[in-house]
Amino acid sequence: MTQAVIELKNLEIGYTSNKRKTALLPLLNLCLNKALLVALIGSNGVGKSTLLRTISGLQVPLNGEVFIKGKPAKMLSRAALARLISLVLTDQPDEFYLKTEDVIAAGRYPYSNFWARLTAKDNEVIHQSMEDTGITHLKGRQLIHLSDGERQKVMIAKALAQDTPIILLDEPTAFLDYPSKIELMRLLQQLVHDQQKTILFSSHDLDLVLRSSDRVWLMAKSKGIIDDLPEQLVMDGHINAFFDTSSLSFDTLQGYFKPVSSEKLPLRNRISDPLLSKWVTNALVRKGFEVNKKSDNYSGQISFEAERFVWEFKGEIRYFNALTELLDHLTNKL
Amino acid sequence: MRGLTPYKSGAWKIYLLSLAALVLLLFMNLVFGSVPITLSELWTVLSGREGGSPSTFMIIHQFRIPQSITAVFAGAGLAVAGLMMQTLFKNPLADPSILGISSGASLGVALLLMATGQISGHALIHFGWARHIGVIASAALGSLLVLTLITMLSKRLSGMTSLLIAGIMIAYFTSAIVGIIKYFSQKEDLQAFVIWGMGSFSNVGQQQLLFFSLVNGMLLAVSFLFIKPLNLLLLGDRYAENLGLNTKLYQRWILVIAGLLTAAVTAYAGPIAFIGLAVPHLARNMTKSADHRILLPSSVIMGASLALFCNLIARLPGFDGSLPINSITSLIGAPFVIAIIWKRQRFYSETK
Repeated sequence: MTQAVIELKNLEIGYTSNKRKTALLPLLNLCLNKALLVALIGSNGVGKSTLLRTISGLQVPLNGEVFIKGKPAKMLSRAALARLISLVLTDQPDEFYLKTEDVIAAGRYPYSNFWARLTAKDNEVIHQSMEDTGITHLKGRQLIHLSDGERQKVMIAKALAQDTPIILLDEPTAFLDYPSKIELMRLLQQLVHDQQKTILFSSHDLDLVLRSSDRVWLMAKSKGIIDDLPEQLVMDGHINAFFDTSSLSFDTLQGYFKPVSSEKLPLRNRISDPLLSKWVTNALVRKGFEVNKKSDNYSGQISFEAERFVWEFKGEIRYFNALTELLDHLTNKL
Repeated sequence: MRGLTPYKSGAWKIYLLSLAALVLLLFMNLVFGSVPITLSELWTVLSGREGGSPSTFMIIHQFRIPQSITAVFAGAGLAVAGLMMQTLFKNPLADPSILGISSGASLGVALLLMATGQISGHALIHFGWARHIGVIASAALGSLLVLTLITMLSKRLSGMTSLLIAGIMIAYFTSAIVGIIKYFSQKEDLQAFVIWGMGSFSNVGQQQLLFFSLVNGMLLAVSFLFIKPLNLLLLGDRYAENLGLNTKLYQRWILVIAGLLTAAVTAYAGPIAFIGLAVPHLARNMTKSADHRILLPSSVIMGASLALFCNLIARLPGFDGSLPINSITSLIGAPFVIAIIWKRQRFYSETK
């Protein structure tokens, strides 16, 4: 029996200004089970950060309740909440001379005494957190001298030092380069797997989310949150329904976004080498062509023979030595 | 796990060094001045032995000791208030006067000058010792009034930035009123006000020294109770809140303590610029730390030392009397602040 770590009951999130309440979403009724990596996705301004803030107790819900491990969050003291939920936010501390270990040590403050004196156990936890996030080499460094990816890891180490069953992260991959994004997702997966953490993170990196999260909370203004396996969301067409625009559509087969095919003619790709074939198709799609492999509905076709690209169009045959020449010809001609 | 506790991080070397500097400066303040006193004379007076000249005894007990102790507490108080303000507002250029608390003191003194002039028809300068107490009381009253206003505002305004703007506006507002009062003041009062505005460590007489030291010492001791909240606030309000801190409540308390420190110092010594701004930066630069467990004690020591140093410069042998302390702190503090900004700018152009 899996245990619900976070439970939202008739939760209405939003903000109050001039005593007027503005709800962002319909009532939410959701559960988040233990030891899962859950991604929160949705367009800008839909309320991802507001939901994370509401769950963590930084913001009061307009209506309804959040339950943490079966207890209503509003009944929990700040100190108790600090030992249940840790946060990693988008804006990181930027104080001069603030060192990596200062920030991670702050994660122990919910456990430390009035003077914030660190015990041997605290130091052990801090060291372990640095090891788990792979940042022991960053000890003694100032936070402002680190890269965005390193700083993100320091904040995650702080969350680990806080020793909470739940970690909430607001767009942890936002400012990272691609390899760092993947590395960070792997780290989160490890924490879920090895330490049984329950992790909820918001993200705009859809392909990353689909590849690495256990569940996805898909957030939309009209429908609230759809909670399902990432694969199920794709197959049920939810991803298309939420993210497609007139110029961009999510390719459910490939798992990425591509431009909606233009009026340009359909081409047939007959290159047999799979690697070459894939990247030629990639280039053609990028230029706005629709590319088929087998269908007969095509107006020109490309093959690769004797180290040359062969282009057949209305009986005319032309040869190109490089992909760039072929592309130039096609974009000028068609 | 070395290096994780501040006491193992080498900060003690800085403590030792700055403590030595403090003691040295204290001695220099007792020895140097318009009347030079030799070390043996000083020793005779301090040890209470017979044989010293009565005038030396008087100079040391009535002037130099009160002045030095005032400088120590004023410097320490302003430095700690500045450190708290900088952390509170996450602004490296915040200082104790930023919320208009010292302008409140100016307003109090200005009002007193005008009131005595209007009511009695005499300039305040003719009132002797009553004038002295009056200035201290009205400065304290004025700054506490502004502090109360700011504290009330902090309950209503949601962000610290809004509060900062409100504070700066209050400072402008009170300065404007002070300007109007000055325009209608008598010449002698105006001069007295200008001199008060230059700041001085010699306003605390022997009789008030104990009270002044007690108030400031107590406030300094209380400020040490806020080390943990200050460290948490350094991470940002939301991180602090998530780590279990009642952010709004502690921000208000820190505001009150920093405000009281500023009020206590300003009431006795007048508005003293730059110590509160520069010393926290000096402490950060020297200790290479952002941890308030290190910064708070070092700000106390370095604030006291800097005030003593400025006082020494103001009374350099060769000058008749002493230079206005506010000019000295500004002369030393302003280039220092520029150096900090320069250093930061260099850092940003190197990394971005």
